[in-house]
Amino acid sequence: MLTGTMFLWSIVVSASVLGAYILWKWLASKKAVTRWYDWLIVIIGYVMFWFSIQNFYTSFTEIEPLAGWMFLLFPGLPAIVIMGIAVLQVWRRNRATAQS
Amino acid sequence: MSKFHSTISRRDFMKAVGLGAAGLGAAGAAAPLFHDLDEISASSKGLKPAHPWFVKERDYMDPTTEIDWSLMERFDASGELNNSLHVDKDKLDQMRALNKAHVKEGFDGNKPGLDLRSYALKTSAWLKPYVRAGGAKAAFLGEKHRISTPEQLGTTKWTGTPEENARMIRSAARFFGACQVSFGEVIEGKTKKLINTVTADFGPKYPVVFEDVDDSYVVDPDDTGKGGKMVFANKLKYAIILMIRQDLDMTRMALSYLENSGGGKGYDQIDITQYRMKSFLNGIGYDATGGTVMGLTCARPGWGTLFGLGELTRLMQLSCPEYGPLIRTTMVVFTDLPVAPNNPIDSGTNRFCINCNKCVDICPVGAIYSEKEPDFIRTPIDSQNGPFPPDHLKPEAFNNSPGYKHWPLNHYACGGYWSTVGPYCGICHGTCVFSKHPVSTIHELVKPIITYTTAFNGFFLAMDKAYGYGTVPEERWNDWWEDPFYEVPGYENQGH
Repeated sequence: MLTGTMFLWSIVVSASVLGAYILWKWLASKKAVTRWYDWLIVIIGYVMFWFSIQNFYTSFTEIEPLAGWMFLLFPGLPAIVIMGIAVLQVWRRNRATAQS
Repeated sequence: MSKFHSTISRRDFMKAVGLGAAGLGAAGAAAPLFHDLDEISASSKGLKPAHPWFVKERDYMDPTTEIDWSLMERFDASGELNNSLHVDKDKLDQMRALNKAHVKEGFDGNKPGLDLRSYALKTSAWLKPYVRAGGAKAAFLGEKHRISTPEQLGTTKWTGTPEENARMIRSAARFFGACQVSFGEVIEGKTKKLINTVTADFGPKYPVVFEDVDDSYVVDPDDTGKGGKMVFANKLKYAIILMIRQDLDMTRMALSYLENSGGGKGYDQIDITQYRMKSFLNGIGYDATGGTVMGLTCARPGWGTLFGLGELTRLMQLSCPEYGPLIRTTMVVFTDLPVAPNNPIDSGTNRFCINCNKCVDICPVGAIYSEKEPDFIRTPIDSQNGPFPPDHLKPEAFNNSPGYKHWPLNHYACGGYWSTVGPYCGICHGTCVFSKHPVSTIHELVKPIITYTTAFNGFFLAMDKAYGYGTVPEERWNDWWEDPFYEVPGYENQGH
């Protein structure tokens, strides 16, 4: 049975896949060099980010506000840091390539 | 696997597939195992409680709780939760006076969860109309005298295989109000010992005796209170174990009458659900008996543990993979309708309790056993906890048979506390790490890990505490009257 929640999450997943494809095409058009582990790090961070958002939201439903805020702190904050590291890594690599 | 499972198991099916792949000619000549995919999926559907995918099934009668059947004792339920057994009359009067004062204090101060409306909510949720009207006798016999039997309707009784019967009863039980159902057997020297020696509830005491008779019956005691008995027909070889939910959002408002309302409503649901089930069994031509909360069997967590509904916890209560300990109870209906019994399960709950003392730390009176490992003991004899130390503690009145490895609850400390503070307690229930709503994905992620390894149990417990999981703060209790906390579509319809 497709519940409303499942439907919403299927939209999030579909939009994420589409977003990843657009990002990949854009990077290719810019001739940016990426490694497989850049994508792996971004995917891990992205999953952690949505995991944090889901638990943040539902913790308030559960009358557990502290848990909600803690989820933003961990794993929410590390998720953003991880994605930032991947972006920084790609940017630095391509800047170095452009300079050489 | 149960000896009643005549349908092929998944393991056997996969084995058969393997043999087929090996090209054994005989396999081709053999009768087909299944005709189509529907048949495969239907083979075990309805035969077992519907647990999440990660729950492991154990061998028949081999639960995660170790049992020594030679030490198992039948329980006299007439004295449980009776403080007068453990203290002198003066102290008992003091306890009652203190409770009365606490109740009045809540009314006068209009305290959240302790005010008049909360008290009225509790008493309304906890009406127990059936058992109050008929006592233990009516709960034992059900509506036998009113239900039309197949003979009266001019037909023969319903018959089916144990598997067909199990599916039928499970469907009926869910409809009647149970959130989960499993099936067990009354086995001489084993599970028969889980049936009380004496029962009493809203009426006289009845010794429970077993006889070779066609129908279970009751003999009322005489004017002196003697001579009564409840006769359990030996032909009642099967047990239908009904699980009844309890509202988590109410339970987490302990100590308050709001918390008690959740538990009370569960008890009322138990009464009506088991009455319906007994009536149904009578209606299809079978005998059925059951009990009340203090009724035919007080070892209800035991039945649930043995036959696949959950596992025994440090709370000495059943915890199921779906709702944790947030069930009010399991209620057992005994019948002669053959039903295929279920195997016990393992979801790591019992193992988790070994290193988790969250309930011990939160209990205001130290009623919960704090030793790491469970044991074959009734209760520490020197247990002196509670707001009113006992004058003459009688552990034999505790529902703690030494026949199984458990964390023995000090029933006097527990009962003595909640019978003096106004509302009943339940803090341990609301605080347990397994008392969680199934909406945050973190809970559903943690459960499978706990099932398969103990390596992260300490980490999960630390996180549970750090993230502040537990009871709802008192300042939020009045909010419930404005807008009940928890409303997720579908959740409220899971049999409570």
